[in-house]
Amino acid sequence: MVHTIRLVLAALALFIFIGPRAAAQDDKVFRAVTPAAVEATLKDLKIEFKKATSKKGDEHYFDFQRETYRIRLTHFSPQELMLDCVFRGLPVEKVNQWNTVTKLARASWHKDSTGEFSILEYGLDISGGATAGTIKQFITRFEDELKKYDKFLGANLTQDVILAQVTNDALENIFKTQGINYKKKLNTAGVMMFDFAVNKHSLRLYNFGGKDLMLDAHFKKISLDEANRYNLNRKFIRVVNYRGKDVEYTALECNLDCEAGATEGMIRHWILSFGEDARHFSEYTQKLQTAGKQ
Amino acid sequence: MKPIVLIVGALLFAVLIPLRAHSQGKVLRSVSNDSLEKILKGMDVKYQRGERKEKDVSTTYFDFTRGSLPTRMYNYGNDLWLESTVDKKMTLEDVNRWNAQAKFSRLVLIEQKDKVTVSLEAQLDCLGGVTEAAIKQFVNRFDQEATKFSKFVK
Repeated sequence: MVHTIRLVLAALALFIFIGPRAAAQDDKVFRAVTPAAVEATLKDLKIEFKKATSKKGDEHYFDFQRETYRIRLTHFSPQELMLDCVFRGLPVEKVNQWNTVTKLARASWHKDSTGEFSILEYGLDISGGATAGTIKQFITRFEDELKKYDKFLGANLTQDVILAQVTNDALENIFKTQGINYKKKLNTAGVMMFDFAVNKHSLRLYNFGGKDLMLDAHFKKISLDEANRYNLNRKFIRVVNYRGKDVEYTALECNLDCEAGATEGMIRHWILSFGEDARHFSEYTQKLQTAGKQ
Repeated sequence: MKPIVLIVGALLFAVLIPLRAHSQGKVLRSVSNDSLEKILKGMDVKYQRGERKEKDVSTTYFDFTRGSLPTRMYNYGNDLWLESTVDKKMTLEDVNRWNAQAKFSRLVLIEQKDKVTVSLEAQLDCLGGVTEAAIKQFVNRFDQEATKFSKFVK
């Protein structure tokens, strides 16, 4: 009984002393924020990020993922912060329509060699004074804006334009607006390959002349019997064992026949579904390994 | 000058309109059995429609033969499945060899109580969107795969 009372008193003491202290820290007003302070705030919010700095060293970038959105927080100066996220392209009139109805974040229309895309941006000027709570709210509010903008895109954008040929530029645009980082390279046969990751699995997309796309992921070799069993129970994919120069491995593969044309939506869905397939197959191989050790 | 402008205009119209029409093909995210029948009829495929019942689930299938192998197409609504089952005893090494060279199909070894068969299969995911042309291509491509496979197993 005495022990319980002590515990309750200790909890109350923590609530009384630590609570206001944390709140006080959140309420401390500052008029400049260092990159280190931004970093600390992100850590405080339990956001995993990658940090980079501009060549001149005057701007600092913090890239992180919230749900399906890849967000960049830019520290332009101790008084200026900006959040942005790249989205699919939208007719400029629609971008303008968004900007006329939205309160906080603004959208901008862009075009580069890969095609059209839009960026949702949200700036914060702290020269008038801000607290740690302001920055946390800045990030939280941006997440709400991202969802609203995504919904707006869905309602105003048709993904059903059929591409007679899937160009490398079209693929790059899909990656970029899907928030997927990629590296591209040409293989010796002249096939463009895109290396990227979905669900933390390394995937490779091959573009065979815009008419045939292939995705693959490599895994530690499993037996042919296990590969066959997996093929028997799953749709859309193919598990194959290969003998490389030095190593044998198992590949998970999937082709998309674009001979009759493909839409952007089909390709996006195909890529993301394969990411899910890679996760599923990875779990399958791990279970096999665990069972093998026992 | 005016006739030339008209001729160029007419040529541009002739070139651009079909492309535009092609780009506006209807995109479906699930395929009805009626749509499938219409597509198969449009391809001059003679088929037989049937139902596979498993517990409370009923799946419509279409049996037809084009080229070398009898084929069954299942309509799961959000995806289509094509398969040709062959009574052929193959090793897993041979199955893997096919899968390593195939692009638009896969081969699966099925061991039942008293016999071993192989199933040549392909699936079309319709959730991301699919056109009538893509479904026709799916059927035609499988036909090509089946022809290649017939040579492979000889």
